[in-house]
Amino acid sequence: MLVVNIEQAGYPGDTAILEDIHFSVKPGELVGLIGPNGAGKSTAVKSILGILNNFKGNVEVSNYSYVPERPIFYERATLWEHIDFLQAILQVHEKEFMKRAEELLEIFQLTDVIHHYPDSFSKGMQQKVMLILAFLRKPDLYIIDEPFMGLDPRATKILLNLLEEEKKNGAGVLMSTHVLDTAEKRCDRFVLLSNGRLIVKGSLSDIQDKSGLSGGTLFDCFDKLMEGES
Amino acid sequence: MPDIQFFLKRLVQDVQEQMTPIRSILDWSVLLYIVIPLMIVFPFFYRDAWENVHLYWGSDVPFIFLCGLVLLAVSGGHIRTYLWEADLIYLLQEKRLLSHLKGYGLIYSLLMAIVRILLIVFIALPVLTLIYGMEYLDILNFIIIVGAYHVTILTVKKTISKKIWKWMFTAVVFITYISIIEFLHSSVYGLIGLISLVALILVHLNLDKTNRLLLNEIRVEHEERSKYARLILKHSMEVEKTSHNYSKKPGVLFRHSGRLFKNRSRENGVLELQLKAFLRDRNYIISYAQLVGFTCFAIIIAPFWVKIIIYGSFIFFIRYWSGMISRKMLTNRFFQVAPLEKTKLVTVEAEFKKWISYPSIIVTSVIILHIYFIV
Repeated sequence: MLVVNIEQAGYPGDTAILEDIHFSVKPGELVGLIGPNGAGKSTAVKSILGILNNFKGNVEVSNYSYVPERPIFYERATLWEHIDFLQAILQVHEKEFMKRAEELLEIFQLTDVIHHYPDSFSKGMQQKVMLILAFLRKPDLYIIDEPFMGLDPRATKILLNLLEEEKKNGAGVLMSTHVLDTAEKRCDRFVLLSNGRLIVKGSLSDIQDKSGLSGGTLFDCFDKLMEGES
Repeated sequence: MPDIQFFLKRLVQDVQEQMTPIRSILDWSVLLYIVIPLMIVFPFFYRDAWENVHLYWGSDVPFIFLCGLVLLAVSGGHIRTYLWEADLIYLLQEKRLLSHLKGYGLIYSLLMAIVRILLIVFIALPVLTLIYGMEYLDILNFIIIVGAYHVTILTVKKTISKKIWKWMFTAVVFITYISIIEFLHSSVYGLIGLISLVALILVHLNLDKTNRLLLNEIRVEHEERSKYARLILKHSMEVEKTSHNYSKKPGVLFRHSGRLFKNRSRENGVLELQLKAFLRDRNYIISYAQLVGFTCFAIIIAPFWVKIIIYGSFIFFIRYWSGMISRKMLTNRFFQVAPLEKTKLVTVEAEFKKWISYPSIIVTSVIILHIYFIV
């Protein structure tokens, strides 16, 4: 589903930001990509998307949906036109696709603004649109960068439930996040990065072992491991 | 510090600020290869225009066209006040100083307006005298009415802050003045211009005593101070121009997200998105209208062989321009979220070029054919 083998990655003219990062995401698994600010999480995501020029290694990725940290929209296209466009480029069954779109719009409470430009929405509403577009693709893998930023508690719960449903249907999820208590409850495994290097990967108990905090929360383990890094 | 010194200090500072972006493009190579050659050849062309005016301006072109062109050329600019945003805090209670600052700004703006109008009339002089047979007194009256128009437009810009009203009033003023020049004798429109000028200057002297328009004046000053920098950025290929879309939903076109094409291929999906983005973007539409408008105007006034060159160049350029816009639109980061790997982007670009260029090519072709067969 996703196999990441990064030997080196970074931006042109810069020293490598990431070195020796290896991990995978299996079907039906939610993997949390965690790390402090500037750890290289977004660069890792860009490496997976194949949009970094300075990249050594290989990434095997199946059909995916990408939810960026900062929502991106097409200029002067309404919310519905974004959905309509997605249907056109995916070339999937129109009736089913539109029915699912209407359901998702209803769930995320965006039905009243379908003919508005998403550019004019609040950050949370924009994030919801990004999620709707991602779920509509029905991919094998979700790559989600900081999904909880700007989302209200209700929308966060809806997102987590939808991700759970997708997992049950066999989709894999790679989620980069700072919200460690939610990650602790929802993720099956973790990949912890710091200063462009892989510090630890595995389940919560693996991280507890590595940090020496048996029974500690992800937050405490993270703090302990980062202390050692700084 | 005396008020006049305060004004001069701000004027000098403003000129220095404006020179920074100008100097950034006006290096020695631009001076050597463009500015100096232009300054050298201009007198020769100007002299030639006096001797062979028919090479430069068609004698069958109505006077109203030249009027429109001159009025458009003087439609820009603002009455400067040299106010800064910080004045809201530090000078708001210094009413006398503010009033004097605005007064000197008005005098300076009017002097600049006189220079600009005289320059434009000087350039148009061969056409005004040799084609339209204007005498000295007619030209003086023409200068006065153009000056009155300019000050009226500046007044509209100063007193009205809402864009839609500003555009509407500008259009009304333009039509009114062009009708006055077209239908009245030069001595009559000269007199009307003189009365309007005096009345408008009195209005401005009164306006300078109040702070009612202060916010609008500060906004205008901000625009004026950054105009050259914005102009350079606007025409710079290396700088990404983010379009600021302040409206929440489409104003007129496809308000309910209606489809353009029944056939839902990948290519049509992308094309539809591009066409809607183009039609809803004010900057694209204004550039398109300017391009078509100026070309039509040039085709009307130019001698026949020049018309053909303009027409051919226009077809080449409009297709190049629309292709460039299509390619630029495809660089939108949204396509990271919705990748286009299976879409034939060459087809999309070709179709976009057709949709954008064909209407304008039809309009210019109709004008050429009309001139060739009927006139």
